Amino acid sequence: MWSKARRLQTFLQRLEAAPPASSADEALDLLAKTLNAVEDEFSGVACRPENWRTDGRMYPPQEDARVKRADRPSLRKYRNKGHYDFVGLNGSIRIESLDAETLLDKAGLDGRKAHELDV
Amino acid sequence: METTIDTLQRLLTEKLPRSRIKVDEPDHVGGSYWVDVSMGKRRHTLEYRPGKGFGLFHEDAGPGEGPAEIYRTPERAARRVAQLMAVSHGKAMHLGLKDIRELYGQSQLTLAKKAGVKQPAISRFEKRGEVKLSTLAATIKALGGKLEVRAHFSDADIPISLSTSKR
Repeated sequence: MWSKARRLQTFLQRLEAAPPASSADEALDLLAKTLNAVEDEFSGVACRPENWRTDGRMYPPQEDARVKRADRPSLRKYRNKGHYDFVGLNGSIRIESLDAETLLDKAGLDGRKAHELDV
Repeated sequence: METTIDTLQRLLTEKLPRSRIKVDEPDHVGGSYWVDVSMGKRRHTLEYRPGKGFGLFHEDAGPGEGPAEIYRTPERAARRVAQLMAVSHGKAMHLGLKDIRELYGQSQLTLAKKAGVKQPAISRFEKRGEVKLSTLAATIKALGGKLEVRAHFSDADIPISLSTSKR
């Protein structure tokens, strides 16, 4: 089985390489399918998102983890322990650490990135 | 009326007056609140799920991974964060019996009396980490909890009975 760091890197590489999404729902679906595929292959932990407590597996953002983002209506913002996942209505995806370090910045199908929306 | 998340913030401010507390509020009713408590370079994160409690994440939690510890009340969650800030130097640590005993405000002597063991047994356990399962079960019961032992496999998650099986 692979370390979490290696799985995360693989997830980011696959997500970056995937065709762009055209809507927020499509982007979330792409994010979920990509992460679940990596975790199915390399984590050795069965997918049980209903278990809140950690089981060593990484899970894609759920609606419960969506947090307020009043100043940017074209972005959905999802929180996890150490990161924010921004999902644009145009299908863009941006993953940032809490310290604002960008891990991934993927444009939507229209070519615009998350930070270019609502400006 | 004070909400649960307000209570947590108040308790954290009382216990950790020099800390910085940041709250990410949910986008919709019933969603999770995220509370980051920072003191210098040390930071601990809690996820409050209404109806479920406060999840505390360990340092090595990956994106979307669940919390390692869950507390049902803001009092216990705030106490645990204060405990971590005091001793762990920013690394969320795995709880030993000493940490759990202190979290529940018990001395070794009081706990030993409640658990029906001698105080040196508690002391030895806290220092060495070696203990009979029956003693550990009695100690956790004396703190008001219940010990569970589970075996995790890639295709199963099985509780192990602590009582002797007789056929």
